[in-house]
Parts: sequence; C-alpha cells; structure tokens
Amino acid sequence: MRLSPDQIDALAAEYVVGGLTGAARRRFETVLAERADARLAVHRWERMLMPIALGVTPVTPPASLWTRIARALPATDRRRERRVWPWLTALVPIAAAAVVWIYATAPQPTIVQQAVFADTGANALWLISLDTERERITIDTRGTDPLPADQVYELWALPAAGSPVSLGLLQTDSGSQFTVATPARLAALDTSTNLAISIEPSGGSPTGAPTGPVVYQAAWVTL
Amino acid sequence: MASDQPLLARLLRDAAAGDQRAFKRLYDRTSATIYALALKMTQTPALADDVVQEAYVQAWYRAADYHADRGSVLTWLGAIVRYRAIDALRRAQRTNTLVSADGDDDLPATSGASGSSDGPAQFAEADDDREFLHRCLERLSDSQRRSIRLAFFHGLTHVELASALTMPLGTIKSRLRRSLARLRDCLVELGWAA
Repeated sequence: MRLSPDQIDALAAEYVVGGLTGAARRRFETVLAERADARLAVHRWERMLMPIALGVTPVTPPASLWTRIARALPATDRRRERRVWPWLTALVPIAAAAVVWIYATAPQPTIVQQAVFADTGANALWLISLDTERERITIDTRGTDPLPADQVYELWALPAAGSPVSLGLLQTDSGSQFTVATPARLAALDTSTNLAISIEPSGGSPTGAPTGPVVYQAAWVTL
Repeated sequence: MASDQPLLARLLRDAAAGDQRAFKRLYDRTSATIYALALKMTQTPALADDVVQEAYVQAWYRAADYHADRGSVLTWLGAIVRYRAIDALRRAQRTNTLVSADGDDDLPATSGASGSSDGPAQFAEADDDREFLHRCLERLSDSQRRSIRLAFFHGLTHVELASALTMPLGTIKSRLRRSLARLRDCLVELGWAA
C-alpha cells in the first residue's frame, strides 16, 4: 500500500490517540516496522499530545506494585553467574575473565514480545519472551510447585484464528530454557493477544491441542 | 523548579546498562504520574496495576531505545503506559458504560496556563508544551475537543466514540481526523518545536 506523507501523518495521529483498532491497527504497525517516516510521525504526535495526559494529578501507586515489577525483571547477577561456571572461575581465572568479557560485550537480546504468568499473589512464575533477532522464545522459570511425575505444564499461543499452537513444555525449576521460534509458532504468536498454560500428560498433549485444564493465562504484549 | 529530565535520562541510561537500582529510582520519580494516567484510562485499580507493571517491564527491556527525539523520559513512559492501557481496555472488552459521553468532566481543564497547575512541579519543562496544547485545544469546538479527549484519555475506539457522542461512525472518523489536523496546525503556528 502506497501511503502519502499526509496519510501517514493522519494514521499516526489516530494510532497515538487510540482510534485505530483491530486490523487497521495491525496494518499500521506493519507500516511502522517498515517506514522510518511513520515512526517519526508517531513520535511527533506522542510529543504533541502527551502533555495532556501528563497533566493528571499524581497518584501514589500501591507499594506492592514495585515488588511485582521487580519480580518480572531479570534476577540481578544471575545471568552472569549462570554463564561463568564455578569450576572455571576457580581453576582458570583468566579464561573466566574472558567469558565475562565476551558476555559483557555480547549484544543484548531484542525482546519484542513478552508475557508474564503470575499466580494469584502476583508472583511471577514464568516470563516468556520472543527474541525475533535470534528467532527463539525464552522461557524464564521463576519456580512453581512441581506437578505429579506423569504431568507437565504446556505453553500455548492462542492465535486470533485457528487452534492453539504449542510453544513447548515448561519446567518448574528456576532457570532459563529456549525453544525455537519456528515459522508456525511465529505466525501464531503474531496474532495472539494471550498465551495459556495447560496441564498435560508427560510428553505433552497427545493431540497437538490442549487436552487438560488451562491453569494460567497471560497477556502477550508487544514491547 | 529545574527539570527532572536530565536526571531521568541518566537513570534510564543506567537502567539500559542493567542497573536495577537506577531503574527503581526512575520508578520512584515517575510512577505517581504514570500510575495516575493508567488509573484515569482504565478506571480500575487492578487493571491499572497490571498496565503499569507491563509498562515498566517494557521500559526496562526497551530502555536502550529511548532517545531525545521521543520527547522527555516522562513522555516516553507515558506513551508506553497509554498503549498498554489501550490494549488492556480492548482485552477487557470493556463496554461503553464505563465512560459516558459526559465522563470527561474530570479531565484537566482547558483553562490556559492554569490548566497545567495539577502537573507535578518537577516536570515544569512539560508546562510550556502543555500550555501550547491547552491554547490549541481551546480553539477547537466543544465536540472536537471532546472527541479527542475521549479517544485519548479513555482509549475509546471510533465505534465507541460514535456511540458515546451519538454520531454516525463516518462523522466521528472525519471529525477526529479534522480535529487532530487542526490541533497540529495550531501547535505548529504557535511555534511548537516539531
């Protein structure tokens, strides 16, 4: 679709105001990903209009809110510790330093979409992130109660049309795991606004669709 | 009062480098405004909590994307929380009953400079922009102003706006578009730095 600068500006304004919905919004987001002038127009409208919104009388949020946010951030220092094997640190300090250096200069993942699964107490259980640059889905498990040996948690994308698509089985011990963002998974994630976790027999759903109870749902948000 | 922007920009830069304490300081200095905005849009504390959590987690992961072209740090954070709130409202499939056509009475007054008095003093740098904006909003008709405010503050879709303002959908679309164009032209005319 060929859009004139005026059309881009009008769409950007409506996007910022919130008037664009559904398919129109998604179409414009595709334009945004492709065209720098559209992104500039959106930023310009944000700068123009945000002062109205920022004129609100401040309200102190509940203290628990920061706790929730902090739980969804990467555990401090844990990333580095995981990468530097303890025996290596003890035996070969120079090599360990090299590993740290490589890690410190490695590009950070480009997280573009994310979901935080939390229990009823708002404790983060799993943090799911899509890193399109590396074409993988990161599953960061914060720890949850283990299931009986013959059951597993299975993660699902819930695309706007069609059946849920499995994104893999979840561990319950704290730690990170990766799963490949296959084209089918990416396509499903692209139109999903929610992810879900169901309980399945060990090995995962035998049918390719959720068979057990859906125990958690989380919003799949574009960052 | 001096602007908070240099400090906030520094805290955000430190956060981008992985400093969570800097991020906490940024949160402490911005969350009351960001939370108030989420609350105003969602009108539900539980939903506002979710929206603000999502927004700050997003801000943490996208901190390196911030640059001066995005406006102040607060503008950038405010834009993030607005999109999250719009998404949350759409997800909640909220009905029009949440916001009536008269439901924008509690929005900041468009009374020139005095309309900015409810902003936190430390964000004084935003006041000039706000005053320009208020002056330009004043130049719009009541219904033009109302359509912008309902859409902008409450995340009303075109269809919901049409229902709230009892107007045909086509009229709403063209009115909103015209109102925004007038607002932009006015801001440019007043010398708003584009």
